[in-house]
Amino acid sequence: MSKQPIMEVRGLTKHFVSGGVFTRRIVKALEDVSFKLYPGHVTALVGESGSGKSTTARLLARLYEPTAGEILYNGENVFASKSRAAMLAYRKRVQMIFQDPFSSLNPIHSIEYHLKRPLQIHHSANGRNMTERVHELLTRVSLTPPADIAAKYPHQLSGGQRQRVAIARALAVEPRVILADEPVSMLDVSIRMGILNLMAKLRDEENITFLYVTHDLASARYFADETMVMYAGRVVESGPSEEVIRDPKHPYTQLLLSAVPDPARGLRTQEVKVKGEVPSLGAVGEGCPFAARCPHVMPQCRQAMPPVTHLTEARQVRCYLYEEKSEGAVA
Amino acid sequence: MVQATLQPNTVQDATEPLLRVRDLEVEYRTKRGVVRAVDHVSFDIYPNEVFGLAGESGCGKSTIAHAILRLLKPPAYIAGGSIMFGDTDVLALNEQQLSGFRWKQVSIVFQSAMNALNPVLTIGTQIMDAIQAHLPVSKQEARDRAVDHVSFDIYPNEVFGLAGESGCGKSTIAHAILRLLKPPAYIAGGSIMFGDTDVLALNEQQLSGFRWKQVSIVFQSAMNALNPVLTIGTQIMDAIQAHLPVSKQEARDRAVELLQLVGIDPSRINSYPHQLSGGMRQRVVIAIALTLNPQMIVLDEPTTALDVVVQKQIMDEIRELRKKFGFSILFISHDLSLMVEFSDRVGIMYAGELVEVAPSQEVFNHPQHPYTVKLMNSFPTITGERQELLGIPGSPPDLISPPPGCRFHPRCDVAIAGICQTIRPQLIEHTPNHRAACHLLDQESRS
Repeated sequence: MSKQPIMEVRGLTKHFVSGGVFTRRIVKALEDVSFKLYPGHVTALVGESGSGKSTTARLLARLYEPTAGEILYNGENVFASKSRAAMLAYRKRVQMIFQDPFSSLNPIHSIEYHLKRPLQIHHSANGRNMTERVHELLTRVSLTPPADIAAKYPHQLSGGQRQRVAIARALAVEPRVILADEPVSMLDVSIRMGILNLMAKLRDEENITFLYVTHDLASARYFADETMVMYAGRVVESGPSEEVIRDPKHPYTQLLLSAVPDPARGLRTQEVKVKGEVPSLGAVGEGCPFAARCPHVMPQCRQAMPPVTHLTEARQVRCYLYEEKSEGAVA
Repeated sequence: MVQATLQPNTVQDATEPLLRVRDLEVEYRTKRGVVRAVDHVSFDIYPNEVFGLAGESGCGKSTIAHAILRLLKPPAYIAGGSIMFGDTDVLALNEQQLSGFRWKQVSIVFQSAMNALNPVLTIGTQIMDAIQAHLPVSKQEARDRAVDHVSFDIYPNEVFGLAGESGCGKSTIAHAILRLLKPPAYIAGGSIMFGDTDVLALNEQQLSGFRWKQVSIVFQSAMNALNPVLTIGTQIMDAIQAHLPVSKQEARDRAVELLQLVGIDPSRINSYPHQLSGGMRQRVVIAIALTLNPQMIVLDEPTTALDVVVQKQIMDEIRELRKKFGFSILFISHDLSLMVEFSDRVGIMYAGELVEVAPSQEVFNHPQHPYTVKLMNSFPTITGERQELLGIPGSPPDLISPPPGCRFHPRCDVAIAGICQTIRPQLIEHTPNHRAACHLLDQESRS
């Protein structure tokens, strides 16, 4: 891809300390994660609970400080300045949407109040055109007629409408990047597509970049241009969504896809024996975190994390099965 | 009919307080003497105002909140002062007046939602409970709305799936089959036959033989189904000994056997639920459901809380167990992909009504009801064509006041004017083994 990335993540690592004085242990939530987000592209971060996908989104939103690594926005390190002004400037560019539209809105405030707040905080509208801006935001997320919706309270809206309000609130500051953490997983099936299609429209018409965090591979295939698969704090495979899902390379991606129910496949023909469960992040050792469950495990897998192998320009995998032999032997 | 719609309260004269608390004193009688928890506290709350009461643990803030709603339990009592709500003297209300005051005039949200909600009732039931207790809505009216004239059969060794969105009534049906509905929900009509047994005619004693022996159930949350302070071995053995005249050793042997059946190493028999992963806990619950070799197991969203890989392990195991023991399954889920893949036949529910029943591949490939057609076009899959999916505009209706006629008509773009808004469609077989409730299909088959 020749375009300049809007965001770049290099060697991002996040360790949490858990337990008390005597039971203290390090939870390695994220370990050496690198990727780029391109303008007007949707990148999906896919994985099971505890894979580090939400932690990654929260680090990008500056809700956490990384243990190591960098996050660049338009080539500049976002952690260079910790001032409130720098934080505000960054939040004007990068916004986050959460999973639960029932708890992300305050029940005692009207929808209008929720949308005015970011406009006030970021000084992006003054008293006179404030209402006009609120109505325009509601129209952009297809909540019409806007005057009626603005006067309502969160409990008067359905889950899907509430998530649209959350998107409108994120749009209030005209961000270039939206981090969407499982934005549809708490909604009923019949209204999920409306939200994904709305985000796709924002990508197509307003060139907004999305990081889409999900456990649902099928929705990643539907909505995301690129998909990254995470396991136990590592990105194990990435590439164009369609290719990753049609032809998974990493043994974990293969396992994950074999487990996804698929009515279009008809009666199940493909059987991949699944064993074990995702390891506790406190117990992840030096090697590949999937080694303990991998059907192709080799001695070197237990010693060190495999390097990144570029299968094509856009496809990467971290697995010794695909190691580029021409680049020399493993040390 | 009383409409229970939510609307802003009319703001009264904002200069007059809504709530006046004067010199409130609350005391607790304890063995060591009288503890004065709240001492001469006075404050006002005005209409439309948010009044905060802050303080550390034990300062009396919750006691005041409870006192205002007259929720104090002995040994606590109100020793003095007054609480006026508008013109109402709250401390002078009798029990009947109190029930009109609570929720209607003042309601309370407690800290722990888990304690405020009854774990064995659906939230729909509990909200209905609140509405019925406080508004003159007759049970007749509320009843019709949860599950309405639903008919289906489940055959031996069959997996029958019941799919639908939140609040469509699918779990209510599961509870009804096991006679687990609690008041105010009750079965108002129809019949449930299990073989030759009329389930609705069973007395309590017969019911206890029917549940677990004939039909058992696996709920969504294993953590709530298991007792956190007992080992899993004890819980399985308790289930066995409650129903079978066996010795402790025999019960233990059977528990080991059951654990092996569901893929848990018997060495975990002395583990407590919190020491197991979510997947293992759900396996334990399945083991308990299998204890008495039931002829049917109800699986109510058994894997909703689990990751997809663990979900597949468990569903594969259930499939194997069914092959081995030949029980039927009533499978309840909102996950249509899983539903279609796992079930032999599927029933689609919408707003308390069964709108379509057919073999699962038939439902997926040739849906007939407009709701099912749209629903099957609402979720992406990992194979198959990558096409634009539209979802369904609008939201499922409020079951307090469902639309007349076909309940789906407000969201249906092929509704027939003058018919779908007024006449309820019947679930009819239009093609062999495929039933659907839609006026459009009736017209097509007639022409």
